[in-house]
Amino acid sequence: MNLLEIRNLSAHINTPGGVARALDCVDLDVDEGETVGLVGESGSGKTMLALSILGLVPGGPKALQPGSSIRYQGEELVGLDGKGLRAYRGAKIAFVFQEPMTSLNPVFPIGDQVQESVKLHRDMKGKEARAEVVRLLTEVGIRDAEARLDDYPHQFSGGMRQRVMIAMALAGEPGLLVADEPTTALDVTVESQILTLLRDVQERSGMGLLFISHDLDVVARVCRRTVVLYGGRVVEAGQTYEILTSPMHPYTRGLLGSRLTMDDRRTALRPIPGEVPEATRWPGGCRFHPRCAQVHARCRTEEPSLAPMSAEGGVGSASREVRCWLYSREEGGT
Amino acid sequence: MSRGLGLALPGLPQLLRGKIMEGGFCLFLWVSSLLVLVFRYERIVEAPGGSLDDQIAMATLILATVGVWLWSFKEWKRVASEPASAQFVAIGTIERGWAAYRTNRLAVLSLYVVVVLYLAMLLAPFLVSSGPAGPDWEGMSDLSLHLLPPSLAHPFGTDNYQKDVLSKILYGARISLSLGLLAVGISVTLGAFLGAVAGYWGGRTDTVIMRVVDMVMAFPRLVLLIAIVALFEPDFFVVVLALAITQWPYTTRLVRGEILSLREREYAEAARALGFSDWRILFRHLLPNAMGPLIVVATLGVGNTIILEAGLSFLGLGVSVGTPSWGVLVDEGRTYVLEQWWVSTFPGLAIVLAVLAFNLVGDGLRDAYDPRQAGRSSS
Repeated sequence: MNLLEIRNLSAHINTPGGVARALDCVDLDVDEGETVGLVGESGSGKTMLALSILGLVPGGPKALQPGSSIRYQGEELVGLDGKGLRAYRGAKIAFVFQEPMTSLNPVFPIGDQVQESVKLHRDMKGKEARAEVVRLLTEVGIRDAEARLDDYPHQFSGGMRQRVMIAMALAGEPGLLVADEPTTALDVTVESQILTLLRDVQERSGMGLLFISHDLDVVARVCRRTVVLYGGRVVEAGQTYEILTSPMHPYTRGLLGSRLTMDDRRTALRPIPGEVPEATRWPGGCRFHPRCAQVHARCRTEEPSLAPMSAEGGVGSASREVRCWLYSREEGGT
Repeated sequence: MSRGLGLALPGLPQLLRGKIMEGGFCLFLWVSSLLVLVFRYERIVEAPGGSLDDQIAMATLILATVGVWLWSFKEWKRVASEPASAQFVAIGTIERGWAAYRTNRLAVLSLYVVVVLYLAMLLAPFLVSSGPAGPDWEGMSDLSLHLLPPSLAHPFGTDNYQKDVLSKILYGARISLSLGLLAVGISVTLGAFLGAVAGYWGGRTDTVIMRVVDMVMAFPRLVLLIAIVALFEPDFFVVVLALAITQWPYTTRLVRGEILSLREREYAEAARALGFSDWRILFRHLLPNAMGPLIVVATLGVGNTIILEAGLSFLGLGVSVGTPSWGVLVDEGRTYVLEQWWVSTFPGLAIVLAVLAFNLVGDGLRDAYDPRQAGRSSS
């Protein structure tokens, strides 16, 4: 049994422009102690997926479509009311958000904010709670934590604030940590430190980690397994190294081609043309086809399914899955 | 040597460090307390066994004296320990706001005026004249005191009841000033609560609350006030409640708007993800962030309320039972205003002073909490 099992997750959100199908039949697993990366462009549904795990999507739990299932340690989360969900938030599943600059309340000292989290999720009071706060802050690498308890968020740098956020998330000793682009707003050296920190705390506590990023390189440094999301659908999934070394879906290849690496200096960047369409009107057929270089007639009319790639094709292990007609065996593909 | 003196004379440490206003205020309070003590010694000694008013006045006197001395002592100690270097203080939003507020001399002066007004209100039993012209005089009135012009014995003159106008203003302050504070306290509490609830949950709750707000605001405020007061015996609490009932919708609108934007902030989202309950997020995390504008409207509201009450009293609809408020005093002198101008003028000036002070404090607070406005108002 997986720690987190997402099956058939669809989230539809009412917007002024119509119903946005932000997520469409997404499957995702995170095992205990496992680190899974979730990759995609802005608008691909990554954040929506993270938020829907605990009913935090705009529109509330009603946004999840019938048939969706999210199980944490085998317990179904879809259909729980606000109170039921709150028992999971922070205590069993914790979040770290993208914007460390604004994720802390500006009017309270950071010690109070971490302590509030400690008091809520652990049966601690007074001195004991305070000691725990100091321990947590030290654990996430804040030097001289005791002296900084009464400092306000604006007295901390972005990286330090993200450490405080991680301390708050760890306060409830969660079994699963969802980190939504935790390093996007930070510069590279700090990013590196935060990634190391996340890996450390994850290894120490043995919790599962769902790591969301638009940056495949960052994901490669943290995650064993990677899921690529496009248009609210999983387009490719597999071991991270496999995806990085032999990307199969044209979109994944596009993502890798959009990176700048040292040995690419002579070749120009190859960005993916166009942009992610709006979630209110996905194109028919394969959702990627308007931007795909290898598009053919079938892609425009029929949507491929997420098919497992076996080793016999020479392109990956059993866990590899791709949603593309190029690799469809049943009906000949190209 | 001057350091030793600093201990003996509150205000001196501040003056020595160039804090003229702070030092002057301190010194003023200290000297006035001493003067009261010297001139009203007998009354003060009897105060513990006296009426509640006297006891409150004595407590105020003690607290004010000790407070001023402590304030000065803090400054003195700072001079002693750190002569030249500016101290680094860890500051939060409140402290930052205060630091910005202090740079506004007019606002600081107004704050001092407000403090003095409230102290005078609480100390009133010791300050009013004790003779036949005093408000506490039980015996026959002295007809020779009828409508005397301002003099040394009666700085603001006497009125047609042969009473000292200054003493009546001091007693009237209890009605006017406490009424302003109370009405605003009630309306801000109620308004902030409803506004926060409406802004946070939205939907039907929001619709219901905001339509009530619209309804109350659709009436001209004075007309609504007159209607409410006319329905009941206009005693103190009826007027307070009437003022509060006509005031809260403005606060509600403001707080609703603030909460609407605050609830979308990342830290609200983060708090939800950490499993905090909605009530907790709303009142512990979001409302404190709306405190700045809330304090501003509250302060401005006190001035506004004092004026409204004076207007009501002038129309004969104010607090008509017990001690006359400032508005009633203005009304009483109306008949004599051409010949014996002092009867109406001084209570009127008291209203102006109090309202002006409150408004300037409010303006100062707004500038301090919203730096974008500061540049505009000073240019």
